[in-house]
Amino acid sequence: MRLELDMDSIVSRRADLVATDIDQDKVFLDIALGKYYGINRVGSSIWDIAEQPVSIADICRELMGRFEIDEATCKKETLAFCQSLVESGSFVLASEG
Amino acid sequence: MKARGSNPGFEPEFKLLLALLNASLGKMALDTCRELVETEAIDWSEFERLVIEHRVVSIVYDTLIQIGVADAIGSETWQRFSDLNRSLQLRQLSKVQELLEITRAFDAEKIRFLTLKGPAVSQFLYGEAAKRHCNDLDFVVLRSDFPKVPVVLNGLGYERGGEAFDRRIEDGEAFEGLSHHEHYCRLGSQVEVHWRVSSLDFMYSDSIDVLYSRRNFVQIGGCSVPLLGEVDLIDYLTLHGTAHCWHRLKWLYDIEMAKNIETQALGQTGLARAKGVRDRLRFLLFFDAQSDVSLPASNLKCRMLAKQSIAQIVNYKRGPDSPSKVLGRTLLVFFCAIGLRNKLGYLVNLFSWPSFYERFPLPRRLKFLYCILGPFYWVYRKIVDRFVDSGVSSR
Repeated sequence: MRLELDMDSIVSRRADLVATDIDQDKVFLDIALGKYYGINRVGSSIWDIAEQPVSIADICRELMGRFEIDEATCKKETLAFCQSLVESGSFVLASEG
Repeated sequence: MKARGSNPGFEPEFKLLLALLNASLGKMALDTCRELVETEAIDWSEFERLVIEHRVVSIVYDTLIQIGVADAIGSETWQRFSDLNRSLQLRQLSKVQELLEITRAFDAEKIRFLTLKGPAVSQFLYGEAAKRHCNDLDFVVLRSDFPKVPVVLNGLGYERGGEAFDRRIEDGEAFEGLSHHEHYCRLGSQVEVHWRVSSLDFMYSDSIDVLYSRRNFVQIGGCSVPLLGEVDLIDYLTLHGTAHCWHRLKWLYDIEMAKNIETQALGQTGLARAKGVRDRLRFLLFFDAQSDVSLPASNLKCRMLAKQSIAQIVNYKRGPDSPSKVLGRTLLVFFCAIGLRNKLGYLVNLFSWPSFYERFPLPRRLKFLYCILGPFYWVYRKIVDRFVDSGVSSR
């Protein structure tokens, strides 16, 4: 069943993922799956913010302070990004521990 | 005495490299680096080779991004840097993956070990496991756990180099030799398992068991990876740098990244002179333009050895194994070793080549012959290798 996130969802990145900055992007490694993922500059910021459990609304607030972006687009894009990372298993929902 | 950091004899490429490394440490203004890029006649191909040789690609690339000089460098060269950095960083990530795989396997078999250099040191010193350049992984394993190592590594797909070691590992004879590690390979990736920290560990006062009891841990990918305690790590890096005559700036940069280096006294240990040389090199190459630290007191021997090291660092074009560099390294270690016992220990290490030892195992009472036959075998290998190389290239 697909788990739909909303702005109050609390997410954090999985502690066992190893990442490195390349240019202004980030590449992270999922050792369990043996897969590499690349994320862009904004995605890297979300990655850094989600080191500790944080709501998607708080991520958006932080991003709007860092980048020139309107609120509606920021919310939509952030939600979609977090949704994809939760589905790939790179982010976890706070309720999952 | 020359002003610190003036470095008048250095080539422009080396001057820029040093400036970028110092800037990345916060010891030099980024504007100074920008000025160098804009005013010096930098040969960028040469600079690229220099950066690769000194194993500091990622640090230099990140600093170049910070100072925003892509236009001055030119798009083609910049793209090359970018591609190089990307491929190296990805390789470092794969090393991290390998490290965690082995760490988990060793832990599962209750093998007591420490990591040397590699991603664990990168995490500890740089705060990022994939930041520091490394070509292979090194582990030190306590001798009593050593027989379990081949089984675990074979299970992970690694194959051991040096069959002679296989035959002698069970009765412990392998550990009595002058060699200090064993190679394992998997798909071109190399792992070294040590039973001694280094061939120069006679300069250490403590055994592996004591070093193990003082171990530190870093967290990488949810895994707790053991490495040398901080003071022991700095000592080890000093020993490693000394053994190679500090010919790569990465090793000195590592020392600069260590947080508690300033609290470490030179002491009266076998490493005291090596530390004296190290600190003189740090002062000459990684100067802090903002502070007023004076040149550390050092005797004539330290000054000469530091000079020799700088010659090795600068003359990278000759390659690390050119005769003059090998001689320079030999002299550095010989003079850094304090006391007759340590000097003799070094010479015994020097004149007995582990490859020869592995290839022609001698009975214990004849082992002294390694010291005599080792150099001849080394020269023989050099000639054969050169002959094979020239044979291949002439086809």
